[in-house]
Parts: sequence; structure tokens; C-alpha cells
Amino acid sequence: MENVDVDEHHAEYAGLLWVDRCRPTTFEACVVHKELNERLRRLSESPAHLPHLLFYGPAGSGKRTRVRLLLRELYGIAVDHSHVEHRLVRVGDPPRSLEYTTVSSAYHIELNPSDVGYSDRLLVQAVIKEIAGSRPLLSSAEQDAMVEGGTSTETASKRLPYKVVVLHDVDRLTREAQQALRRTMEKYAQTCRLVLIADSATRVLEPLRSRCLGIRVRAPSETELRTVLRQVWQRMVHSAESPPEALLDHAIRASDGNLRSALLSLEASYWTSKAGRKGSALPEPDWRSICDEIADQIRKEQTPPSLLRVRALYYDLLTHCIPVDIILSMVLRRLLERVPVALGQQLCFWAAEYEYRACMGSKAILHLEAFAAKCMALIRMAQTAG
Amino acid sequence: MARGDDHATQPWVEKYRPRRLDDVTQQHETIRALKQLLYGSGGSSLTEKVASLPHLLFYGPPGTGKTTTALALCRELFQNITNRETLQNRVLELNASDERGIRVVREKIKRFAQSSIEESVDAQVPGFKIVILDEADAITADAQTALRRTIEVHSRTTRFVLICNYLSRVIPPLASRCAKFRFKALEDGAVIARLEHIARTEGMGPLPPEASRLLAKAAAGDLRRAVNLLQSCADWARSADGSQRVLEPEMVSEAACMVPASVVERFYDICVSRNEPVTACFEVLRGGYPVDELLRQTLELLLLDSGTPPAQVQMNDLQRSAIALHMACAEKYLCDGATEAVQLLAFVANCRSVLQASS
Ligand SMILES: Nc1ncnc2c1ncn2[C@@H]1O[C@H](COP(=O)(O)OP(=O)(O)OP(=O)(O)O)[C@@H](O)[C@H]1O
Ligand SMILES: [Mg+2]
Repeated sequence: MENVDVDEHHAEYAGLLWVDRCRPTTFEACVVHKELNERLRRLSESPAHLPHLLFYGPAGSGKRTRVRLLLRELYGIAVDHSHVEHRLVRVGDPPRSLEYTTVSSAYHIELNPSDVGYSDRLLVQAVIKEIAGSRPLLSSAEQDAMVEGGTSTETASKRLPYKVVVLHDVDRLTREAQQALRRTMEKYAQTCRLVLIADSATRVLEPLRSRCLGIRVRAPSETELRTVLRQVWQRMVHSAESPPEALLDHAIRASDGNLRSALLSLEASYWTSKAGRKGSALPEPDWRSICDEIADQIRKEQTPPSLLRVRALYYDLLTHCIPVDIILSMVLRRLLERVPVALGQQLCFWAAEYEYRACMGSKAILHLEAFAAKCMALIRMAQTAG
Repeated sequence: MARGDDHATQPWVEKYRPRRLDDVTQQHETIRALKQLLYGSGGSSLTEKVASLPHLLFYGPPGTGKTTTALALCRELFQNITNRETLQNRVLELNASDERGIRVVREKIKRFAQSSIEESVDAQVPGFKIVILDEADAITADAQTALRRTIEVHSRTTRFVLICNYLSRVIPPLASRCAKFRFKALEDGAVIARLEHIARTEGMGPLPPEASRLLAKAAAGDLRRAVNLLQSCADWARSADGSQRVLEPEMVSEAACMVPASVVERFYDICVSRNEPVTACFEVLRGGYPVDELLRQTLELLLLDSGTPPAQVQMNDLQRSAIALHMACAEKYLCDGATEAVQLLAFVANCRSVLQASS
């Protein structure tokens, strides 16, 4: 998780990526989602009765950035003085140790309860309920803000009687954990507002969606992507120069509407070209290209040894904590690009089936493998028929 | 529980949570039956018969007033307790945010049920306590089985109020011990009336009919959602100088994040046409609309569509029902946590195979 300061020349910046360094710090500076930004700004103008919020939309569409900007509108610059903490609690019956990470300022706290896997319910019941039920420590926090933030009135924090609890990846919480949030959100509305962030609203339980004001963050359009990439380039590389169109096109095509990966890819291309073709360290093959490889393998060779190779690649992804649904969607997508339409339809049908089984079951690799085997069988059948 | 002066810093949904049974919107039969149990055929003092209050089970979709009614009921039951006792002595609320393993629940209930209450000869103070088991869907079947016994053991001194969204999630032996009350999704008229009341109280001025109709539609019977939406629209419509502008219907559909008709039509088109589907599907997904909502609205289009769909496809009733079945399947998978992208692609593929099979 990032902890970004506004100061340009801060030493902290040394190792940071462009995406983090160029994160906008005010709604005005944000070129993507103009209309949404305006709405959020309005919402923050009457903060006393802010409802709970649910930000949802595709990965990399800018949900975190919007939440960050909203917090800043609510509390002023003091929310940026946040620190990362690793905590350990013992909860449950029989007691279990849970380790989790928080990012917090005097006014807000961010955590990702799905970090603790199947015990997320316990975390929600014990930790989040406690955070939600306690009042914010206004006076001391304000003192802090005064000391650290200098004298300008800008930095003085605003007085709000509640704190904000930001929960990431809510769609990856178990149902029990989501259920556990329900009454907490109502009972402690006085002292705490929840901001939930999810890639997919569908996976957030209906009663939770009912408790929040939904805020859809769509993926940025191609024009918006282009504008942001240009801006970042001008800020990081050369202020009077536009990036080569080829680089832009490449970054946008590879990103699939994900602003974060578009920026990462632009930066990678820049450093590669700067280092010259020879001797430049190629970026690590990311999970996407491994999915690519899996799809290729399935399409090229439908034999048991081929399946073994696919298995090795799957394991590679799983050990890097890529969620099973993301793997399966990506492999499916790559396969669809390479097979005839009629066959593709069958693949889709079975993908849905195996993906469902994977999410009901607990051993992801079995279902991923079964899917690969099924694809191979279908491809082989189509070949012998045609 | 909230005091009056705290209202300023609460979201509207909490601020406008009814505190008395009479203020609960629409659930007439339920409210009438409950009041009958409390007050008999009339008057405002509790009847003698209140001593034989049964266990209660409230069920219904989110945001229809179940928790509200349970809390209001307790408040009215114990309105006359002497000030040496508090409501906390009499009412225990256990919800999904509490640890509800079998052992813990049994212990908690036991401790609560055994704590003494003021013996009173006065019929105006019922001689029992109430345990509210809210969000009972989340209690495992095992724990529910164990609860059966707990309820029996303590039923002389304690009444239980179970609350859940789906009746089917409560095991029958438990459900059969309770008087059941269904909370219906609110009708548009009732939603609008409540919203108008809130708007008046908040000084928003009268709601334009078109806007309130849209609000009710977007809420789909969930009053909490409606109130949340109204609040966000109010913020949206407030000008910089604090005066209120008129609520435009566009603001409502924007705030409600409804899937716009154009997107639904576009998706329908993808389902029934023969063009390359994958890119188009991902285009739809990039919009970030909740896919279950999208499917629901597409179904409406499918059922309405009487042979002249946008993409010049003739569909017979058999095909129509086959597609509806696929939709039900996708919806079920999504409810269970499956992935939007895969399910959407599969649904499109299934639609197409249905249409191609007979042509
Ligand atoms: N029938 C109703 N009359 C008035 N207000 C209502 C009604 N139903 C819901 N509300 C509003 O919605 C809010 C939530 O209602 P409540 O907590 O009773 O829902 P619920 O039925 O318990 O939902 P869930 O199943 O999600 O727990 C209330 O605070 C109130 O503002
Ligand atoms: Mg409730």
C-alpha cells in the first residue's frame, strides 16, 4: 500500500513509480471522471451526514485515488500523514492469531480484511467493530496536525465527529464477513463511516449494497488514458515534449482500460528505450504473459505432457497469489482470441462452469486443471470434426 | 441508542429510522398484528395478554423495516419500565457482527436470561426479556439446531425475535416455534410518500414527480436505498450558496448508478447478434455496471420484446424460455460469488447457441 506525500522533492520519492508520484492530489487536478469528481466534491461539502459509500468498478479505474481525494476533502491534508502498521490479534473460539496490515492517519484507517483469508469474519467482528465503536481522538489529532502541518490554514484539519474506515477488496470477503458488517454499519454510524471498495459490485451482498451509496467508477476512456499518459510523460520526462505515439498506443492497448497498468507500461517502455536495446533488463514477465503462455500451450498441444506444463504454469501464478478467477478469465480471454467462434462459445460455457466450481470449492488448482483439460478435449474434437 | 441532538451527524437512514410502530411505512398487516398483540383491540396501554407474546420471526428483503420494527416493538413493550431499569436489561441484540458460535450464543443468552429483572405486579411492565437474533441467515444450521433447545429452556422468561432475509435460511424446527411476519418490498407509492416527508423535513422543497418516480424505481422496494439516494441527490442539488436547486431526473439516475437503457439495449444486441462478442462484452464490463443488475434488466427486455427486437432476430417462446433459464443460472452463479466477466461471456455464448440451434 502506498503512503504518498505531496512534496515533490521528498526523499521518499527516490524509489517510487510514476503512478505513485503523479497521483493527483485534488479533484481539480484530476482529468479522468470529471462528472464523478464533481459529485464527490459535493458530497464532501455536507460531511456531517455522509452516508456509507461503496466504490465499485473495474480494476485500475481509479477507485483508490477517488477515495483518497475524498478523504482529503473531508479532513484536509492531515490524512496524508499516514503510517503503515502490522498488527496481530488473537480472536475467536478457540483463539486464533490473525496478522493484518493497516494504513492509518488520525482520521481514517484502511485495511484489507481479505488478507487473513477464511478468518476474515473474525477480523470484522473483533477489529472493525472495535474501531467503528470508538470515537475519534479529535483533540490530540488536531494538535498533531498543527505541529506537523505548519501554520498555513490549509493544513488545519476539519472537525468531524466520525472517522472513516476504508475496506479494500470487499468483494473478496467471505459472505460471513460481509454479513458481519451489516449491523455494525448501522449501530456505529454515529462514530464511523465505512468506505467499501470492490472491483465487482455483484459480489457484494445485497444487504450491504443497500446500506451504502453506490459510486460507480468506470474504466477511463481511451481519450482520458491518452491525456493522463501525456501529462505524466511531460511531468516526468520532458515538459515540452509529447511521448511517441507508438509508445502511447502500446501502453493503452496493453492496459485494457486499467490506468495503473497503462502508466506502468509507459514507464517500463521509457526506461527500456533509455537504457538502449542492448543490456536493458526486460521487465519481469507478469501474470498476463503467463496466462498467455497457458492459452498457447492448450491450443497447440492436447496431450498429458502438455497438461503437465500447464499445471506448472498455473502453480507459478497461484504461488504469486493471483486469484483463481483472474487466472481463469485471462486464460479464457486469450483462448477466445485464438479459436473459431463456435468453439469459443463452448469454451465460454465450460469456463463459467469450472469457475463456479472453483469458487464453491477450496482447491483452486483442481478446477483450473479440469478447465484446461476440458478445453484441450473440445479443441481436439473440433479439429477431428473439421 | 441515538439521542435527538446526535441527529445532525447521522446519515439520513439512521436519522429517519422510525422509533415507533406507527411510524413504520407500509407494513400494515404486520404492524396491525403486532399492535394487536401488545395493546389488544385498542387503547395505548398494554393488555394483560401481552404476557403470552409468542416468539417472533421477521423475514423479508433488505431495507424494508425488520430491524426497525423489532427495536420499536421493544421500545413500546418496555416503555413503562421504572428508571432503575434500562432497556439494556431487557433487550439483548445479537447480530451477525457478534461471534455466534454455538457455545458463545448459549452462554450469552444464558447470562442475559438469568440476570434478574424487577418483579412487578403491574401489567404495564411485561415480566419477560427479549432476545433479538438479527441477521439470522448467517447462523449456521448446527448453531440453529442448538438454539432450539436454548429457546425452549429460557422461554418462560425470554421471548425471541428472529430476523432474516430468506425464510429458507432458518431451519424449519426453529421457524415453526415462531409467529412469522413477512416484510414486503415497499410499493413505489409508499416509498415516494416517505421520501416526500423526509424532503419536506429537510427543507428540500417539493420533489418533482418525475424525480421521485425514478427514485422509487431505482430503490426497487428498498426504503433504505431510497433514503440514501435521496440524501445524495440533495447534496448534489445543493448550490454553493446553500440554496436548493430542483432535483433533476438525470441526477437521480446518475446517483442511483442505474444501468442506462442504452447499455442494456447494447448488451441485448450482443446477445442476439452474430458479430464478434468478446471485445463488445469487455467494452460493457469496462463500464463497471453490476452484472446481476444488467442481467435483470436484460431479462425485462427479453420478455417484453415481442418479435421485433433491435437486431432483427425472430425468437419463439421456447427460445425465450431457454434464454431465461440460462439467465437464472448465471444469476445464481453470480450470487454465489462467481466472476462477472466469465459469467457474462458464458451467458452471451449460451444465448447465441440457443438462437443458432434452430436456425
Ligand atoms: N417500513 C419502513 N418504514 C420507514 N423506514 C424504513 C422502513 N424500512 C426501512 N426504512 C428505512 O431504512 C432503514 C433501514 O431499515 P431496517 O434496518 O429496518 O431494514 P432491515 O429490514 O432490517 O434490512 P436488512 O435486512 O438489510 O437488515 C431505516 O433506518 C429507515 O430509514
Ligand atoms: Mg436489519
